[in-house]
Amino acid sequence: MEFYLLDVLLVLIFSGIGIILIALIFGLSKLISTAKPSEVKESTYECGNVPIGESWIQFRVRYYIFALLFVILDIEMIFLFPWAIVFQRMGLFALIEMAIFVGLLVVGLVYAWRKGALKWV
Amino acid sequence: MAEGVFQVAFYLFSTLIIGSALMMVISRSLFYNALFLLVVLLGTAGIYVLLNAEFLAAMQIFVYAGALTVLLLFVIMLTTGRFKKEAKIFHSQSVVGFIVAISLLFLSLFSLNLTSWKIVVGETSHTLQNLANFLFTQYALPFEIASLVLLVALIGAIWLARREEE
Repeated sequence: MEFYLLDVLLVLIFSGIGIILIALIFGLSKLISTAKPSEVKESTYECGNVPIGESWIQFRVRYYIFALLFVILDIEMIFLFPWAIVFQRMGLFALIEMAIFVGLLVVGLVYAWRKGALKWV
Repeated sequence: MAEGVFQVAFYLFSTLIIGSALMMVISRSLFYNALFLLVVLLGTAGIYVLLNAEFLAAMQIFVYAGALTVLLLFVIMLTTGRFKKEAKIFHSQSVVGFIVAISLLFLSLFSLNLTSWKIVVGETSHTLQNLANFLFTQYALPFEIASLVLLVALIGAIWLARREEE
């Protein structure tokens, strides 16, 4: 229990350092820099063009595939963690198991690729 | 000392979860609703860490806080054209919503009451090891089937999205 607490404490310390660092950087730049906002400066930057319409537009449905691909590969990645733990002990059997698992998902990825679903248009 | 730290952390996470859950319901922008849901899910991961279930906490962050929230935000962005107006809190469906919420609350309280909360005695530091042992021996077939289910979901989604395009 005590060791576990120490681990959690380390994570807390690292998170604390991260938060302080970012707050420091942003706070310093806010403190040092001079701000003279104008309407042109506060408009959305769009490669030098004048932005047209609202930023809240309806996205095309094909972008949903990217989100879904991310979810599926995310879940695949989750399974790799327990696999990594038993791999040394179970050896070839675990390797074949994971090869089937990943292989099936690679089929899906190849399908997405061939169908042109990965094209960013 | 250790118990006190865990107690404080538990109440901190609980306040965070309940507060953001409330904000999620009250907030009127669909986008902010999704972001508050993200905070709720992250807070739940914190509770898992307190319960010595680090792997579950990592999964909670990867799958729920990461993937699910992205999916949700995408759905909001895909449909935002239809739901441009801000969501109202009180509308014609308030009564029905109230009844459903109250019955859900009582259902959860009832099942909470019925469950016997047994205290598990034993090793809790090798949970991932045990999980892996079962997953890759006894439950090897369900593990492979999970891959197949993911494949079907992927191909189905591509097929649907492509049909929508045409």
